Amino acid sequence: MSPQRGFGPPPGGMPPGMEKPRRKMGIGKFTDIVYLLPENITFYKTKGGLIGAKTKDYDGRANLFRIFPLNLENKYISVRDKDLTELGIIEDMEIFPQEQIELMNDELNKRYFIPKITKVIEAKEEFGNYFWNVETTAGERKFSMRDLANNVIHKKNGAIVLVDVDGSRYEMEDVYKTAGKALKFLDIWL
Amino acid sequence: MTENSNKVCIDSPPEYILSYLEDKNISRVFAAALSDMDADGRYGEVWAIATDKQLHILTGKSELGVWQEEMFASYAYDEVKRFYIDTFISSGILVGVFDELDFELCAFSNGNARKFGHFANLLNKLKNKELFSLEDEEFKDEDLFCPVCGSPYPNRGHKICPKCMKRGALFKRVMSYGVRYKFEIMAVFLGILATAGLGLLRPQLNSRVLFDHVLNPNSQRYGQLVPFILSILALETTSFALNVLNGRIGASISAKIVYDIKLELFSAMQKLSLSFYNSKHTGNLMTRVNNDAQDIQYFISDGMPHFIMNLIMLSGILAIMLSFYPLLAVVVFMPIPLIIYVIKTVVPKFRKYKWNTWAKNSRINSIINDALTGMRVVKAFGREKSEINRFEKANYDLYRANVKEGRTAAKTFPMLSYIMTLGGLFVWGVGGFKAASGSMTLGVLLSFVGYVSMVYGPLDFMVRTFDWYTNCMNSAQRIFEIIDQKPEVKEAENPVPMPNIKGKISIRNVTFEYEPNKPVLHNINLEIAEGEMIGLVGHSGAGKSTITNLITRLYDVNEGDILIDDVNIKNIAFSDLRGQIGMVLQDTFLFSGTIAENIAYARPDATRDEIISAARLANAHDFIMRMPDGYETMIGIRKNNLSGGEKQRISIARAILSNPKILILDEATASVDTETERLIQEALERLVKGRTTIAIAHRLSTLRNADRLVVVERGTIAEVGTHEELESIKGIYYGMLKMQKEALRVRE
Repeated sequence: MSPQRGFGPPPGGMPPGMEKPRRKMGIGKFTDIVYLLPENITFYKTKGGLIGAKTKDYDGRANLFRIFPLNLENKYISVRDKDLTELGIIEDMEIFPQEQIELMNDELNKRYFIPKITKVIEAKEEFGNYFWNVETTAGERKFSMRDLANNVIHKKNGAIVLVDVDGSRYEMEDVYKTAGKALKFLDIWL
Repeated sequence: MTENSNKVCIDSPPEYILSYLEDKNISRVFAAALSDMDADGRYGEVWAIATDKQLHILTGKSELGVWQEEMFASYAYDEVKRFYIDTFISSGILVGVFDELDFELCAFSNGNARKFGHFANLLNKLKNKELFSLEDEEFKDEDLFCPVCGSPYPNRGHKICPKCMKRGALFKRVMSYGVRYKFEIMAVFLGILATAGLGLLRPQLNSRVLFDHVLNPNSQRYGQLVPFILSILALETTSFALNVLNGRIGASISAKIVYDIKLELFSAMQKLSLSFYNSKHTGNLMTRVNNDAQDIQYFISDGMPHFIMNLIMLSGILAIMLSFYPLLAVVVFMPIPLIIYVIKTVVPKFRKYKWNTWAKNSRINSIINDALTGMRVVKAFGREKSEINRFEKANYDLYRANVKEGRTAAKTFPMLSYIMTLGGLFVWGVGGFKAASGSMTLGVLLSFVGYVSMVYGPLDFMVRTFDWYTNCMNSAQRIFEIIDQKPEVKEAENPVPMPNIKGKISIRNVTFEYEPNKPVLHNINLEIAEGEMIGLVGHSGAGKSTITNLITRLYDVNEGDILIDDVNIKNIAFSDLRGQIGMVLQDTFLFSGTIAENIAYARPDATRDEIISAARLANAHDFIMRMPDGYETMIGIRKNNLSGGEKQRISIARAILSNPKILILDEATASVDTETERLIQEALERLVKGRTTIAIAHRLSTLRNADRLVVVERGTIAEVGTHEELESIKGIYYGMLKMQKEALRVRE
């Protein structure tokens, strides 16, 4: 199977009435998405503890990015070389062997380090700023937020992501269960 | 540069780390950085220690003042090619390059990125046996957390922890704006006192005096209706006059205070560096100037005086009641805890629903705004139906929010008046019994009933005043945050006077980064002679505009120096520097006002003849003359919208009039048609004569008059020379030229 797939007709042909594409969209390499499959890319752990990728033309440090980081954690992964030039896109990580998925997850979890809040120890609003002391999956953490209007991100699954003054993020999966005292100022943003 | 001293740069390691290092025989520590994250992505204490030869990473925690090691790693500089940091979404890593292989050495959270970026620079200096600079030694990043509560400061430029801040101190500062109007405030206060006193007299007069004396046949004053009515009239007239007087003085004081705050805030904002405006916290600056100042005004003009008045009223009522019938006073005040409870519990909920309605309302407004301003796009893509659906959903949400708010209101306010009525019934019951048994006169009973009706209103108001107070304090805090902010680019205290800049520019070893450890310009060197025209070319994001931003000191260089006429620009006063640098940018900003005012923006004293000459030189005169109001055309109103090319020529006229010694043209002819480009180009040629000019352009043909072209590539200067020289070496410039020629051919 070729790793190159353009905007051609879907497998099985076009639906009735649409047999002929109205306009050819592919105008060269910029519009063609290179899909990466287990047979044309292999990830490995470098000696330096980072993730490396080996393709036909590249062997070196890889950088992994989520294209839809909020709602699709394991799908649409942009794989880039050490200079951040895109090698291709992984449409679904699940088609890779388990050990490869784990390598990718290690890297993605590093780039998208967003600990999950498990308990709110303290949540205080003072002069429009919010001060949190929480237990997270990565340990206890104190952080400050400036305003909720611009710093609460909603995920489609109902979870929310809080963005602190430094841009660090923290996820709250079940707000009503976890938020505790914070609910009194948080719930109008839900 | 200084000799590497014994001082540990960046973070000072605590005693337990120093003694641990001593145990390991590690000495000569030059720099240390504390991280809050270990290699496994867990929050914890990690120290990165740089000695003269090695980097040590210590992971663990301190227990009873002793470092409990969890991990210890050392890396010799000899084995490392260079150090750098890689920043991610919420965190970052310090990386060492070993034989082309990147090693993750240590992780850190976002808040420490700047510090670790600097730490990586120091590691590279130690590795290369370079000396630290004075700036290196003075780098400070440890004040990110409030020393009292340990929370990160919400605003790094303003090291005040709102959590630990004393509200009293803030209140005092707000009130300090009133000190300059102390006589007026005193007058209002006396007026309030008098009004409250008169208010307290009212039930005495129209209940006790009326029923117990004027209408009581046993009283000496029986039937004296005229003096009674005159007294009531006098009371009401005085009260009315006092109210008007208080209102007038109060309105003028509060307006003056808000005027002062707004002026101070706006002036502070003008002094701040451009980086402040590019930061993420400035989206609501407009709100700050307007709404926050308004909140303070409401509190000072309405909240405070009424609060004081109500407090006096309540105390007065209590005192009068207690002096007449203590038992009845207790009865009146019995439902008060219940009322306070209702106000305290239901009102916040009600406020939340109100806020929710407001949010839903603004969502609807933004959908309407989107659909109306983007109507061409909506229609062009045939998306009318989906816009209706989007609106319908938001409209339904608003409907639900309105219902919720309405239902709560319908429940709360009747409940409050019901409780108040119950309170009244108590008084009628107890008082009525006493009146019937003859131990209380009808007048006293009725005056009590009058006071009851006066108790609950102020009570409700006072509870609400606390909300106003909170709003006012929040607004004040936000305003003072800006007023106290220190500009990043500071003007020299004793600048070198430079009233007549000649225009020689020297850029020496300049490195600059907007974000930590991500240099946009790297070791740039360029000498520009007086009157020379330099064309800066390069791909988007190569750093061309950044060079011009540094020359105008919109930002300060991280390393190296920029000199104008051999004087470091850091020693030139802003007015001398910026007053003699003219800029014509791609996005021209015109202020609301006439065309003439916009041309004369940098030189308001320009004569009419000068304005017209400048416009003629800028090829703007003719299009201005086609407008009905000519040079007096107000920009932006009554369909007076100028096209991109017209705006551009106004900004050229503006630059001509300001007569700068140094001229910066940043994509001045981009995004206009060929004919307009010719007109602008012609105007520019007149403008650059006799001035040092730095022109940035993607369209290389527009730089044909440049004395030298400088190719900027990934933050460094890649090629310098004349058009012919660069064409002959067949490098980057040649490649760009070839590509543009091909593109032109395709267009033809």
